[in-house]
Amino acid sequence: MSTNVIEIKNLSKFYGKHRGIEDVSFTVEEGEIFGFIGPNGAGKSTTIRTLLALIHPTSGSANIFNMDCVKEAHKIAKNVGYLPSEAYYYENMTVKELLKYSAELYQMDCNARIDELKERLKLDDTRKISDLSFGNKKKVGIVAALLHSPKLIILDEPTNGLDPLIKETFFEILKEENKKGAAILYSSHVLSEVQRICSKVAIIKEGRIINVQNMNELRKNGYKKVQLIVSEPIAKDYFKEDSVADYKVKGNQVTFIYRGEADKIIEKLYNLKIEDVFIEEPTLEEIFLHYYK
Amino acid sequence: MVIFKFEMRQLRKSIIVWSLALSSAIFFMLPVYIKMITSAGYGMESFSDNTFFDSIGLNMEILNTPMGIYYFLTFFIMFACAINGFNKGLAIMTKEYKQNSADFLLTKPWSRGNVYVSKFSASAIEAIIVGVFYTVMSYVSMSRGTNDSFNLQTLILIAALITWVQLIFLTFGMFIGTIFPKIRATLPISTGVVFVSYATGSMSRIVGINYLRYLSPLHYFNGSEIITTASYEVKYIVVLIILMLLFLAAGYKIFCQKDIGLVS
Repeated sequence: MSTNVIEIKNLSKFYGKHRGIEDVSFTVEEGEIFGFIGPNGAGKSTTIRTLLALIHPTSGSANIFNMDCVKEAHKIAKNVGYLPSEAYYYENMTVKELLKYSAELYQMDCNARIDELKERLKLDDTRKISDLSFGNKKKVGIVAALLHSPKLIILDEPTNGLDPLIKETFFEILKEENKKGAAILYSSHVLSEVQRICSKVAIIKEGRIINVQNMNELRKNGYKKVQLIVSEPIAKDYFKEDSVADYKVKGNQVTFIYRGEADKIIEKLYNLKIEDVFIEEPTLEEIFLHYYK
Repeated sequence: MVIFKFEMRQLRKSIIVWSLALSSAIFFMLPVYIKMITSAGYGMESFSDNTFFDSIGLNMEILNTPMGIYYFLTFFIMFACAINGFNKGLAIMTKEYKQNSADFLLTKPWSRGNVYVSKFSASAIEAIIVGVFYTVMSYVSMSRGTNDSFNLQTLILIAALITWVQLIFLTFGMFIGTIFPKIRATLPISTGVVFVSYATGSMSRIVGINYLRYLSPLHYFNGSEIITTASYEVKYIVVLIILMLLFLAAGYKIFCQKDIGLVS
């Protein structure tokens, strides 16, 4: 039987009259990589910051490792690694000093782990934090979040600023940590990243969870943005209404967002007179606009 | 302890600079002033109607003694220490916001209470170290400046004023820094706060409105009184300690419950 690492029940946070999150509930199980997606401003960071006791909830409860997130934050933190979306540290320190301080805060000897992560992420630890680019600060954040081999890794928009090669290495590291038993809460607004790494996903919009589903279900109903240049007009009802959204015709150019199984749309397209075709991933905003109204 | 050690490392330079600066100031100035004022025919009588000396708690008779001169110089050093104390308190609480490092620190396995106490302890230790240096150098300087014997207890009580004043303004600064963590320019605010406090205390002594004196920790101590009785005024020391504890407790409580805003 699997145990819940994170358990959020009816969590709400209001800033005065402004809504942060409202009635958010979900669980993350041991060893799970749980995606948390939603457009910017949906409440992802607010939820995460409440879990980390950086902000205090207005109502509801949040537990990590069966401990109350607010009352026992410092005990929980021993086994949690957190990478914020904007990684900022003490500007006057070198990377080496900062990572040493970070390890000291966990009261652990993390030298071997720091060296390994530094090497894999190609991080120069002799430089001052103030001299680092955004991407390099993010690498420091990754090392600082993982140096103590936490049982729960909380990542908020972790790939912002990382170049594609480092992104690959980062995903490898995450998979390794997960194999070792760490649960991961992966918050992002990039659907493809979440689809790639997560086994389950919660979708948040305007502060409320609107869906929690297995990644397989989400993949099955994968979203595609299709752009066609056609030589013959397409009949109005050629595509089923429930699988196509935002259908637009401009001259011989047709665009729409498709939701459904890939072979079915290929089959449909095969029967059309097409000069050119582009299929790409729609932005999360586009998906939300048309499917999660 | 880890956070305390880290904060101490951050304060290292400041401890050295302040210890050297204040010790050198008293070391060089005290013998010169003693020589100047106690020399025959210097004419301090012309200042006898000057209310300024009343405002800092000195009368002319006491001012004409080496210990009076030491108190007079220490009062100005105390003013600088008050600014430093308030500034340290503000800066140590606001720096996590200025550098956006609050997320880093407060998601580590240390309670917020521990963070607050560590920050206070490091700053308080700084104030005490600076005070010890100042006391030692004051003793050396006084021995050098006068051939007369002097009361060591009185000298220590006067030297300790800079530590008392730093501590009370430190706790006040930490309290304000906890409430307004986004303050950027800490030094101008610290100077302003200490100056207003000084002006209020001076006015209370000149005009004789005693309760206003409670608003100025700089005026909790009366030089003439310390020199003649070799003790502090107990009621003001009690008020000072109560205020320090109140600022600490209130700052602690607010810090533990405060939401840490998102960096953007």
